[in-house]
Amino acid sequence: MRISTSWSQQTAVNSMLDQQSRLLQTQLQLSTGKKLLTPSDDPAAAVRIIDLNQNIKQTEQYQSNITTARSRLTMEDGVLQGATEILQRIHELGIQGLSGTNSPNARIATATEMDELNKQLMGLANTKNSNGEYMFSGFKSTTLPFSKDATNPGAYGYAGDTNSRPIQIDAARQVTDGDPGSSVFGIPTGSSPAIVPSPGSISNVFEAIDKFTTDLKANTPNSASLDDISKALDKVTLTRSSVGARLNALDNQESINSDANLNTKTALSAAEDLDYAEAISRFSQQTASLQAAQQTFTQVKKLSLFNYL
Amino acid sequence: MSGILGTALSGLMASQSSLSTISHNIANVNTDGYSRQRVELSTNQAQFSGGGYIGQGVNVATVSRSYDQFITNQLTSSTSAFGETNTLSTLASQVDNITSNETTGLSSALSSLFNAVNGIANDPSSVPARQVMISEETAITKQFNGLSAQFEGLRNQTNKQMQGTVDDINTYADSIATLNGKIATDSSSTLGAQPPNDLLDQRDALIAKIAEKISVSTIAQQDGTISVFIGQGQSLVLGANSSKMSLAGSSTDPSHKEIFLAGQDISNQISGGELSGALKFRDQVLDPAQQQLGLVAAGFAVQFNAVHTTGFDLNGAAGTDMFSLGTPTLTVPVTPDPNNVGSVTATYDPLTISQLAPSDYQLNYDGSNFSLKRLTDNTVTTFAGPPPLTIAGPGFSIATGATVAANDSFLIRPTFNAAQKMTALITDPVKIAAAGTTGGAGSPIPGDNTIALSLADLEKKPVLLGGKSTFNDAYGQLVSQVGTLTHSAKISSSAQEALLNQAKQTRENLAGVNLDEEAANLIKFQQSYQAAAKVVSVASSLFDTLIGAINR
Repeated sequence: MRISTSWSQQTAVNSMLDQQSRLLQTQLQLSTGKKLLTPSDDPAAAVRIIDLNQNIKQTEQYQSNITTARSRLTMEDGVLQGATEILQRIHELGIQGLSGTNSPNARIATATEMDELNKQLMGLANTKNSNGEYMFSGFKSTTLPFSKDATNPGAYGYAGDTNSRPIQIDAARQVTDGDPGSSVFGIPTGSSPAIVPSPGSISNVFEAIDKFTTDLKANTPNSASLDDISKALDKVTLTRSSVGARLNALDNQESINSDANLNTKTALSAAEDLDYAEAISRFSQQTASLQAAQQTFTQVKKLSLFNYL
Repeated sequence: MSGILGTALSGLMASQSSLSTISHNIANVNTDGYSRQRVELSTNQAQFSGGGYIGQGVNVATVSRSYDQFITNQLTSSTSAFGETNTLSTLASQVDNITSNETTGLSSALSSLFNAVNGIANDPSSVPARQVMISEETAITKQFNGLSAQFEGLRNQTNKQMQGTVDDINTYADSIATLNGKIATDSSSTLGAQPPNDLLDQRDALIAKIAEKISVSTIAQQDGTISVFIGQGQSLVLGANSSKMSLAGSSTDPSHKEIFLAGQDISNQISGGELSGALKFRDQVLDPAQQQLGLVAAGFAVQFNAVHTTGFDLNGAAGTDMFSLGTPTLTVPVTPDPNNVGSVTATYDPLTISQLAPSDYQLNYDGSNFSLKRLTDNTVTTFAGPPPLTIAGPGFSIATGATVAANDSFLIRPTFNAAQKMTALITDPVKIAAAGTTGGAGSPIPGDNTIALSLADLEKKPVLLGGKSTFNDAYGQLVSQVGTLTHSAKISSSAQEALLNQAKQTRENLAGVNLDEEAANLIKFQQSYQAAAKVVSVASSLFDTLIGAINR
């Protein structure tokens, strides 16, 4: 077969160019650690990678949402623990104050301590979280939730609402990061005209304690007031157990999310990460064959009949 | 004896011609499109003597080139096929790189935006969290604009490339026509018809160059000229005359170039070559990618606005549009036909936006009915007139003016430029409407995160393409569309390259110069020249012998 001199040269050059471009591809893969350099290398895998990456980012967002919710709920739990202790102390003092052996002066002393505790409790109910938002005012997070009614003695006001804020912790799961003051401490009768109900049916804890201490100071304590305190304590305890359940749910979801993320990352790695062992052996093979091509080229080029003319 | 001298001289002349042709071959060993030549020798007319015919030496019959019409045609068509696939694959790779790139792609920008929305949902009253959202709102807008600008850049580049290609074709066609003229003159020379080999090679090389740009068919004529045809038989070169190709923008979009030959639109008829590769790239890769990107942009902006405007901001005021796609914010671009009487306006419709398709639409009025044609697949929906009429399109609604007359026609482009036109409207972090309720102007509900949650929910909600795709899915479709097309273009390009190399090799094996062969021939004709020269000297000594005999 005739072979054209310039074409045989061109063929050899083409094959070297080819080998070089393959070598470059492998070199790029090795330096980036990625199997795919552009989507066209494997379009299906490219789309899967986009999906998996988005999935990972979303799950990471849920994890950070969980952290936010947990810090708020932990703080609420602490506040509620304080409230529980205060209410237990008030309950004790109430039993003491109701005792018939008490002198009117002793009752006044008890009532004064209870008043102080009531103020402390209200301080807790008006706690702000780390963002400076009131913890127990529902959506109206910049509004002071509880206040003493200045014009109607014994009456209190609630300026928050009955909402609580959901936080997304999974595609289909939300957890509220707090509770409105209305459900934790009860709805006060409010101002104008304030008619505080009689002991035994007062739902707001501050009004209940206020009524109790007023009666104690007047030396006419009503034993039904103790029921109000107990009911208030029940409400706080109930909320605390709900907070505990939610914290538990957060822990569960966090470990579910981190498992899911691990799986997704494994899938992502399988889809986009380079098999280094394979790539390195491919690289040395390609290097060897390029060298061979270069050597044979120079040797073949030396052969010419003109050398002997 | 004079016979011996004459015969020897003819041998000298023949060897000399052969040697100069060999040296021509060696000189052109690296010339593109050169066909090796050889001197065809034949014996001279013999002289009759009583004892038989006595040979009178050799003469040069012709100088022929190694050439095969079939192999050349094969090479021409392979060149066109490779030119097309190679251009398509080179251009498509650029889109491929843009869409996949971590920094220029849309995916990570979308994720960051929704992370910011989640930040607000966690902390609706926090101004820093809202500030992050404002930056991300600007970032995603820039990302859409940037991608669109890259596509626009590729469109300009493609147009320039097409213009350059058309200019080249015109130049080559001119040169072929000129060569045709010369070849016709040479072939009909009164001195005797001999093939002008080098001119023929030059013309073949020019045809091969045109074939790189556009697929051609050639027909050899009696007078030695070659006629060149493109497309479906439109003549580019006829004898010594050539036609001019040109580019012109379409009537509705000046950046959408059509190809004309002698004033006739042949865009749909050309095949093969770089020109066809560029057209295919524009029609099958770039335009669909830009439409799909616009679909994501329009869908995203409209859906986001629709949710955001149901909320209330940190001042207690109702939420406003967050993204704009035109003026007013939800305007769909409409290009009217220059001969229209009436006008129409179109706006994106948040209620049907999930039905939006990545396509342009043509609205026509025939005097009694409106017809809305989707241009990607020519699906037509008819609406009974007369105007004024409100037409519910997929993802947008059209309000026709009262004066719309028969034969009015409008091009509606809901997705084509949407990514380019997108702008961010909210710059004040307080104006982000995260709350679902308000206590009235001036008394916001700062802890309410209802709308922020709904906005965050859009990330994983299938709200595009008939309620089947999320924003990220729709963008993923764009990446996979471009990736698949690029992948197949690369494969067919390397297949065509192999075929082209095969064809080149076949031609080179026949017509290319082999230096060893030439060296051997050099020796051969050197020897025959030396031998003929020796015969001259023998003839001379014979002559001397004779003269000496007479002088004695």
